[in-house]
Amino acid sequence: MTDTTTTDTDRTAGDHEDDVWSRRSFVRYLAPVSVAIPVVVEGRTLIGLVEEDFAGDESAWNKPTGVSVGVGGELRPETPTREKLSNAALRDTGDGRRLTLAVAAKNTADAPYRFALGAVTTDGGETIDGGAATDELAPGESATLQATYDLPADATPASVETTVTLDGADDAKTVELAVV
Amino acid sequence: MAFVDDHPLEAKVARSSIAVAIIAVAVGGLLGLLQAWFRTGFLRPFSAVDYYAILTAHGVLMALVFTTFFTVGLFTWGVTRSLDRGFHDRRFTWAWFALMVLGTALAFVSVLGNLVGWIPLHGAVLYTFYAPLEASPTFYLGLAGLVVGSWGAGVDYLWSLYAWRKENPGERIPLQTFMSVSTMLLWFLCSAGVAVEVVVFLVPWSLGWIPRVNPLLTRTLFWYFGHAVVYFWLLPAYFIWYTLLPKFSGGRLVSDSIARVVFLLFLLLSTPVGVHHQYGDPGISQGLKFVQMTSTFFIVLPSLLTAFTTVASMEHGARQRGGTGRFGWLRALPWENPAFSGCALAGIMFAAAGFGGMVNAGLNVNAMVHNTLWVPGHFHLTVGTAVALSFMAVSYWLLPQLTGKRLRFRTLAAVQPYLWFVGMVFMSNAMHREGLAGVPRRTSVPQYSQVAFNLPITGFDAVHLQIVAGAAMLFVALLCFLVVVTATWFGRRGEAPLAVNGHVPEPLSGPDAGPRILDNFKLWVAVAVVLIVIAYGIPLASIIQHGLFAPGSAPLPT
Repeated sequence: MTDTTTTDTDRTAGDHEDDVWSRRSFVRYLAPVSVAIPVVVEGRTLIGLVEEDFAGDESAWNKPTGVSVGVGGELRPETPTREKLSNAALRDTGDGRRLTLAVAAKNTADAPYRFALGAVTTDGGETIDGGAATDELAPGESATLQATYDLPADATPASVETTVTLDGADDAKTVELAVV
Repeated sequence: MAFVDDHPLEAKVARSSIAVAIIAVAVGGLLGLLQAWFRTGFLRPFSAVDYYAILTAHGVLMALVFTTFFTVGLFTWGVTRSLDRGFHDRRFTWAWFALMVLGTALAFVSVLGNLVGWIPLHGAVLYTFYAPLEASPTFYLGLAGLVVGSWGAGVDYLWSLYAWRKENPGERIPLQTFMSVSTMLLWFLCSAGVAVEVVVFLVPWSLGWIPRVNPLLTRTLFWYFGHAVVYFWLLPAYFIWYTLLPKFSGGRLVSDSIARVVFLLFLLLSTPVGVHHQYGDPGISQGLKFVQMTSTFFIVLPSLLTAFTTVASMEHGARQRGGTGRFGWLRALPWENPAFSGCALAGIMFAAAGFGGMVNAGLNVNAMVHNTLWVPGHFHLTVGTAVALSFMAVSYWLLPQLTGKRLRFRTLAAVQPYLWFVGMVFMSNAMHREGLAGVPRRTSVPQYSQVAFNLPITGFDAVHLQIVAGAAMLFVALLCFLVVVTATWFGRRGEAPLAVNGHVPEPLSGPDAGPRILDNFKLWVAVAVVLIVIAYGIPLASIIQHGLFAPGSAPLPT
C-alpha cells in the first residue's frame, strides 16, 4: 500500500468508492443556503461597522465603556443628546473639600432640551445638595454648566444625580463618577 | 480488505484513540452549551464560581484531549497506511496510549473536584494553566501524562519511518508519514516549554516545595507552547485537506512538494512566535514583541499556500466530475457527502479565522481585542471549526475502515456539517462583536452593574440571542455526529459493503518534482531550534535575570 505514482486510469480503478450520497440531493441545497447565511451575517456586520465609523458623535465608538465617568466621558451615553464631563476637580478648603463639576451639553436631538446636575453622593453615602442646570436649548445649541459641592474633609464623590429634559419629559439617572 | 483487516493492531489503537476523542467532545460539547447559555444569562443552573470549573473542563476536553487523541488516532492510520507497516512493539504502543488515558482522567477528576465536594482536588485554572492560578498537582501531572503519552505516539511514527527507510533506501517519504512526523517533531519542540513549566515550576509550587514562582516566566513558557499547539491542532486538519479532501472532491492533490514545504514552514515558524499572545504583558520589551509580530505574519504564507493548493485540488476534482465554467465547477463538487462538505466548510471558516488572526497578531490592533470575547470567537473558528469539523467529517469516511462497519444514519451525517457551520457563524460572529465592544473573556458574569458596553450595530439582546441559538445549533450538530458514530460503532460487521476505501490518489505533481532536502528532518529540526533560541533566548534571559523565582507570586486562590 506504499504510495507510488499512478496514472489517471489507475486512479479511477483503484479509487472507486460506492456512491451512497448522491440520492440525498436535497442536501445540495444546504450548501448555498449555508454559505449565504454567513454572507448576510458578516455583510450586515461590515455595513454596520462602516456606518458606525461615519456616525460621528452618534457612533458607539464615541461612547465611553467603563464603570464610571471621568473627565472627557459622556454622562448620559444612552440619550440622543450629548453631556460631556469637561472638568471634575477636588480641592481642600481648610474645613472640608470642594468639588467642582463642569459639563458641556449639546442638543443633538430635534426637540427642546435642558440638562441639570443634582446632588452628589459621597463614598460614605452622604448626600451633598447642590447642582446647576442649563437654560432650555434649541436643537443644535450648546451650553456649559458648572456646579460646586462642599464635601466633608475625608469624603470623595461617588456619584451625581443628572436629569435630561427632552421635549418636556424628565429622565433622571444617578451617574457613577470615576476617582477625581 | 479494509484497514482493520490489514493492520488490526493499529486499527485498534486508532479506533481507541478516536473513541476517547469522541467521549471528550461529547462531554466538552455539553459543557460548552451550558457555558454559552450561562454567560448570556439564558440559563444559569450553577453558580458563577462553578462556571470557571466548567470553562476549564470545556477547554481542556475540547482543545487538549479531543484534539490530541484524534490526532494520534488519525496519524496512526496515516503512518501505517502510507508505510504499509505496523508499529514495532505493541507493549510500547499500548503503554503510551494508557498514559494518555490515565493523564486525561487525572486532570479531569481534578477539575471535577471544584464541582464535587468529596473529591479533595481542584483544577479550575482554565486550559491556559499558568501562575498565579494554582491547581492540585494531579491536574498538572495528568496533563503531563497526556503530553508525554502523545510523545510516545510520535516515537512510534519515527520508529516506523526509521524501519521503513532501512528497507527503502533512497525512496521519498510517503506524504502522510511526512506530515505526521513533521507535526510530531513540532509537538516535541513546542511541548518542551509546557513540560518545563509543569515539571520545574507548577508541580513543585502546587506541592508547596517552592513558595512562589514568577508568573511572567510561567506565562512565557506556556505561550511558547500555547501558540504552536494551535498548529498541532491544525496540521492534522491540513493532513486531511491535503491528502484526503482532493479524493473526496473526485480529484488529486495538485502538488506534493507544496504540501511538504507548508509542513516544514510550520515546523520552523510555529514556536518562535508565542510572545504575540503576551502583547499585554509588562516585562517583555516592545522591541521583542515587534520582532515576534513580524515572525507571526510569516505564518500567513503557509496558510495562503494551503488555501491555493486545496482549492486548486478541489477544482481539479470538480472538473474530473464534469464541472465547467469559472465558478460553475463548484456545483459539481459532492456537497451531499459529509466527508467533503465538512472539510470544505471547515476550510471556508478557517479563511475567515485567518483574517481575525491577523488582527490578533498586530501589536497595535491587538490592544483593541486583547482578552476580550473576540479571542474565543476567533479560536472557535480555528480549533472549534477548522479542526473539529474536519475531524468529524473525516470520521464519516475513516470510521468504516477502522471498524469494518458501514456508516449508519447517512442522512443525519450529510446534514451535520451544515448545522455546525451555520451554528458557528451565529455564535462566533456575536462573540467577535462583543469583543469589539470590550466585553471580557474568561469571566462568568460580565454584566457588572455599573458597566456599560457600547455594542456597535445591535444591542446585547441580539448578540446574546445569536450566541444562545448558535450554541444550540452546534450542540444539535454534535448530537447528530454522536448518533452516527455510535450507531456505526455498534453496528454489525459485514451487513453491507463499506462503500469507502483507503486508497489515496497520487498528487498531480509528485514528490520527485521537489528537492530531496525537504525530507531531511535533522536539518529542519536544527534550523527550528536555532530560530527558537533567537526568539526566546533574550526574553527568557531578561525574565530570569533576578533569579528563576523572582519576582515571585504566591498561589491563587490562597
